[in-house]
Amino acid sequence: MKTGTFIAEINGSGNLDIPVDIKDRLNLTEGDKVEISLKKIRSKRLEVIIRKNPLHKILELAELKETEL
Amino acid sequence: MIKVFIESSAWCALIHARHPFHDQAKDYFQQILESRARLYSNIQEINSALSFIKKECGLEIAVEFSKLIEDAVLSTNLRLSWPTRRLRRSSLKLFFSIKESSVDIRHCYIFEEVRKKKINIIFSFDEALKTFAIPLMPQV
Repeated sequence: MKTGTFIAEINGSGNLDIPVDIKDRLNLTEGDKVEISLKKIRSKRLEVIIRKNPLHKILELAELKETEL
Repeated sequence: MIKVFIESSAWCALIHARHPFHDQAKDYFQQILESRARLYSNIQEINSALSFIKKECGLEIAVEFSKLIEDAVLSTNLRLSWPTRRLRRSSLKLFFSIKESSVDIRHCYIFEEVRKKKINIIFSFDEALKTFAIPLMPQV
């Protein structure tokens, strides 16, 4: 059994989009049956999760420091 | 998926522009971010890096670094561990069994964590870690 976890935002009509990498990893195609368990998370946490990997900013931080020196 | 443990010397080299391995650190870090490797570190390494960054780069950069680490942990882009009693026991046992004087207990913690979590690579410039025969990157 293959499983995948992802974070998503519910749209106005109450639907969720499955991310492409989850679809690929689980080889999901139209008609496949899936079991879904939902957990509501705090919006602040979602904002952190869905934006670009914050570790990329480490490189920017280093560059910022370089320009100061 | 490749698992990479980031040791304090790598964090320091990344942030400190005058660090002798700054360019190598940046290039390798970019590479592991692009390859979507699973990244690990522990609280001792982060604390050690924070002290260094505050001293060498200033308070502002240290605060920013700390925030980025927190965000990375929260978004599961970085897996940060705290030492457990079990890990301390095994690290101490290892530490007392090694005669090499350059290896300190911090290195033993890293090795034990890397072994336990089946981590493939240590991102570090600390030569003492070569004692454990685990791939150290980047090669300098």
